[in-house]
Amino acid sequence: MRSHSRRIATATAVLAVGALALAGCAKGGGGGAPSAAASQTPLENKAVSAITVGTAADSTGPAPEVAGAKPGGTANMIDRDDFSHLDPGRVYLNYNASVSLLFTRQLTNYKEDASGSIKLVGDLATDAGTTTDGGKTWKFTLKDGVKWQDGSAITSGDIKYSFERLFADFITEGPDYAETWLVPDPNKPFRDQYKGPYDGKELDTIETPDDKTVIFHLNAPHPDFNFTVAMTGYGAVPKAKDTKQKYDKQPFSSGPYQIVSHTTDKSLELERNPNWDKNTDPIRHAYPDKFHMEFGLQSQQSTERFLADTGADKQAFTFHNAVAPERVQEVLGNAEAMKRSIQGLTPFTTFYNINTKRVTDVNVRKAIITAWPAKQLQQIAGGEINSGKIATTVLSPTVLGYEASDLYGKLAKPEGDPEAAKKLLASSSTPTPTIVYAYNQTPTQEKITVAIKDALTKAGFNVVAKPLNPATYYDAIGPVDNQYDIYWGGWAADWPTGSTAIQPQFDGRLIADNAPNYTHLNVPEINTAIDQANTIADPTEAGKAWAAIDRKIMEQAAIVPEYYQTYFGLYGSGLGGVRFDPIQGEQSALDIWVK
Amino acid sequence: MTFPSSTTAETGSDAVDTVAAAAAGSSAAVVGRSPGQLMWRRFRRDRTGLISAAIVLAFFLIALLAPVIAWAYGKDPYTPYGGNQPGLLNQYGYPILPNGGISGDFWFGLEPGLGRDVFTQLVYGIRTSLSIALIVTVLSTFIGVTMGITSGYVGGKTDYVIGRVIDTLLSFPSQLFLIVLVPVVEVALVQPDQETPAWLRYVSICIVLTVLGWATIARLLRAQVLSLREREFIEAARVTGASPGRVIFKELLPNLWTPIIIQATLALPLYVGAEAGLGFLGAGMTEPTPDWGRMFQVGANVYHSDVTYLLFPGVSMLIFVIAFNLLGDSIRDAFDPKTKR
Amino acid sequence: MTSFLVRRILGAIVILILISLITFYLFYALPRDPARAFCGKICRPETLTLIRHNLGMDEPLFVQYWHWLSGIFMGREFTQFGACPAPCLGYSFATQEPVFSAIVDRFPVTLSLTLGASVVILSFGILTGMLAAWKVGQPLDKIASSTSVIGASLQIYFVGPLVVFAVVDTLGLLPRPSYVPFTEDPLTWFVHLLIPWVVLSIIFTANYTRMTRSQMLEQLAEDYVRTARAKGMSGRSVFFRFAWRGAMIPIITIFGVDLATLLGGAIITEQTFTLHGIGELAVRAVQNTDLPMLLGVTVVGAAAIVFLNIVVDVLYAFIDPRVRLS
Repeated sequence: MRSHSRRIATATAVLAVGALALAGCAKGGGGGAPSAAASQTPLENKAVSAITVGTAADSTGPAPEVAGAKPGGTANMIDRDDFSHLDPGRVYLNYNASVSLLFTRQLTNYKEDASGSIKLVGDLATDAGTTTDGGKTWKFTLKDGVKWQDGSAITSGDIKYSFERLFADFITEGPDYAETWLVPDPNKPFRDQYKGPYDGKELDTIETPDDKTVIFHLNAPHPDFNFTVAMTGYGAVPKAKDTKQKYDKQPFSSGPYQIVSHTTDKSLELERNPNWDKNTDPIRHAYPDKFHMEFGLQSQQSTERFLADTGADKQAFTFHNAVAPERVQEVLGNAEAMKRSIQGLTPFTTFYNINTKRVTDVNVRKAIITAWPAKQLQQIAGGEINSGKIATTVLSPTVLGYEASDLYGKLAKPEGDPEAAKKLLASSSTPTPTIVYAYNQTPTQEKITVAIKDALTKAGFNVVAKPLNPATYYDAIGPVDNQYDIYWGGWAADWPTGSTAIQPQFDGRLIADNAPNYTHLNVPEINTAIDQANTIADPTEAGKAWAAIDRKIMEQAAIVPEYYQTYFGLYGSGLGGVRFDPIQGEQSALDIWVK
Repeated sequence: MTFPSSTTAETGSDAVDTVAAAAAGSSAAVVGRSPGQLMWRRFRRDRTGLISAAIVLAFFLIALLAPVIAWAYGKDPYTPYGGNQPGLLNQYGYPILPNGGISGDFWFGLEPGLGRDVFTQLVYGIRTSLSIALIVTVLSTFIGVTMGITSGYVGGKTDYVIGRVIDTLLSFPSQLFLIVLVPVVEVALVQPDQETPAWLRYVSICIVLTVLGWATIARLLRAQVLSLREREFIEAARVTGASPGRVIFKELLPNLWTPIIIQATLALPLYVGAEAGLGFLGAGMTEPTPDWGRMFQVGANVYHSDVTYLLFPGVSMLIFVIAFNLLGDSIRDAFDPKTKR
Repeated sequence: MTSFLVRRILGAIVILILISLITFYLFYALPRDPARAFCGKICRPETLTLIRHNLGMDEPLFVQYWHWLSGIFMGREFTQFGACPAPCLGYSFATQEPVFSAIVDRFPVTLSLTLGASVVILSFGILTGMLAAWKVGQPLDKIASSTSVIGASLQIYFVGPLVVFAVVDTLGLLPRPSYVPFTEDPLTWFVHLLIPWVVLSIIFTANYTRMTRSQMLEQLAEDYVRTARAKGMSGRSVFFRFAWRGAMIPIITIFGVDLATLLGGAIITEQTFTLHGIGELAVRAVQNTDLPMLLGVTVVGAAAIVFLNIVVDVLYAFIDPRVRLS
């Protein structure tokens, strides 16, 4: 009978544990102070006030002093991931680009002033480049006194070489705009036309008449080529120090810092590059003597450390880690922490592509947008501060020329308007259309699917949800003849003008398997308008043209815009000058100083 | 939390003792009652066993009657109530009422994010998880018994091959393989251009758990058969010219029922745990099918702001597993009152 | 003894090769294209072809497998990444770091988690089990037995978050679980891993309490104990000097199995406490369909299980001379 009494004791203990658990829940649960959360003011995510091309005067160093800043000390950076690439040619990710600014310089770069306006200025070059034939030939002149970390001068030959090596077979991750424009035929694979410099051949479309001058001869006019070369992917790499694949771990510095040590997934140590001259640099301050970067911290951990704000974490910032979603309410209510917070609108937009090849009736597409449960999706994602502002256009407010418009009244009725959608469907060819919604099979996306299905069904759609393996998601939606009607996508312009936001995605002549035109929209009027906008040399006028195209795409109801993604992060109290970088959409290290 | 292969090691050795004792016991039981009757008499006198059995039965009834319960309660596990009715969720997607939004309308509160009803989610989730565990237990026991007896009885090359397969399967990092295999099986079963039917994941999970689960019981049965094979009564049957089928079904199997039943009762709660583990890691049943295990995943994501949500799947699973383990103890005791524990 | 070891090790190697082969072929059953991870945002078909070539993915499957296998002993050369010295398990498709160094890097986390938990589990389990056996039938015995049933029925993904919520979020007694290298600061290392250890031991200790207790009772009924008692030895010294030795044999066996499982299957534990060990690496590899990482983790995990089993067998023979390794 011993075993019996044991079991009775167990049963009693179970009841006790259950009771404790329930007692605990009565105290601990709850959605957490809804009134306090509701009284929080929404984030101020204003559009970029102006993006202009700066003059030679704007391009001269040093960068204007930050008020109160002093040099010296060590700034710490804590984040989740190590930088996947440090070789500038292999950098596309904003996170890698943010750190690259500390040791890699490009021909041009972005300078943000206190009012929030952004100027494209010369970085290694004396100005933002000049063209005399509408963008087909570009001339850049290097500044005096720009040097590599070993003290040797950065020459036009180095710049030419930096572009040539991008044709090598191992550099596949970076952008390839310039490569495509620098070969004779833009419609043939560029690697078939030039194989890179490692077998001794040069690219004759880049001319270096002297040590200071680089002239690019493009195969077609590209009036915003000077924006293209501001991408980290076109950063400078010295021929004498190019270690090919190994360069990715140990790049040679042209910027204010050089790499002391790098332990993959653990840490990166930067120290001052003595050969960098601040008088040549219009954007970098380089106040701290050292940067210590630490990886492997999830947002929960970094949020906790920033909130605790003790020891070396006082002098810490993060490039990318946002406030952990579950701590957002707490942080918003913490006045001290809010003083050390960074908010901003990133260049990233998300949206749902509508496959216009399959959903051919524009009224059905309009009904989809009208019925879309934008607010419910935002709630699933943890609210505006964790996801973004509900979007209503193709272009993000961070793009030059953005114009706000809300064709389908999504801001008035973000939860979707099934009645209005029904009316649109009634006027269409199929009043009860079947819609195949393909989604990434992740926990969050599954929940989003439930909400989408619910909302569209109420409007009279028959929704078929098709889960896709996240690893093969783009392979599945890539083919032009894919069998899906709606699928999620995200985009960020590679430089803040409309061309890289709109052309790759909505130029009907670029429809191909796996091409970014996932909506398969092919409207001749839009195609022509894109060509026209591409040739407008004046940035403001070009901006207006792109905004007009944006409106036309929305009239075609080719996408359901989802969010203009926002960033909300913290940093330690011992740092000054931490600001939001609107180009990369995360924290910037350039103005940081140690208190 | 772990997969059967690890935890049953202990009980495996237990069961070997049990069976030896049972074999000894059965020869002594000449009172005129069958071992089954004896077992039932003993079980009826075991109060804890009966209570546990009632609880386990209640869980299976809940699973079976989930649609009836939902109908009587007036909600379903699919509608996002919180998203549709303003005033239930705040702007971050959490229930506005304290304790996870528990109210007269939503007895167990609302799921953060979508705002579905937790009570019906749990009831239907139990239905999904228990049915998977039951199917897998039956399948893996059947395969394990077949392979174990074959291996032990036939011996020679067959034994060697089956033995190596078992060794390999038991050396797999099982949790990892569970999450790797589920998508692979899914791909193997459906063409990429076809719709993925809702039942597919269900079938994949059953297959994967079975494939990785039968080896433990097979190894155990093989050892049993090896020891029984040398006993006189088997020898006698063989010498008198009984066919292998007759020896297996009439002589061997009756002596193996006890370890088989004990193994099966041990395995079921472990499969419930394994299925829930899959759900927790995101490789379990997919939305919108409600799933017990996936509720833990949601719970682990929201516990910081809404700990109440996690308690419902957690406490209910705790009660179920304890009741089932105690029931297993009782069954074992009933089969063999002399077992020490 | 030597021939036993040689045979077991050869068998283990065969099993490891089998497991890696199965993993390799299973993975190729998945329709995925790792090349995309190496392709820029606007990915051209010709770039994809180039990357597939760089990764050696345009070769027949068995050739790819052979390259992988020989890379472990002789190293490899990748166009995409450069040289990969032996032991080379390839480069991750997702993070592009060498698989071997990623595993080496994560190993201390899983090891700290497992060994720390083992110490707690074993010391508590054996202690309470012996006490329960010493005081058979008394309240302590009952409490130990009943908590052991509850403990063994708990799920780590339920208890883990609850404990973190109570101890970290509500009471603020301990920091959120994370890994700080032991060599950096032993105290911080200890404090940050305390919660996972305790939670794991809540679940596993029970098993050992139960086993120790029943083994002790069994030993106390053995002839040699009766003889010792008959010769006038006190119950206490019989109990603490002799009986426990015999009781340890099965416990070591089971601990060996559990340790292998804890090591190879720390997936759920690490996921629960967001620790970055081998288990988390494995989950990420599955999510990213990252073949090299998946293969590496599977083979290393399987190796841990297989070799720990061998060690257990050998230990078993040392402790109990009746066992012959044949």
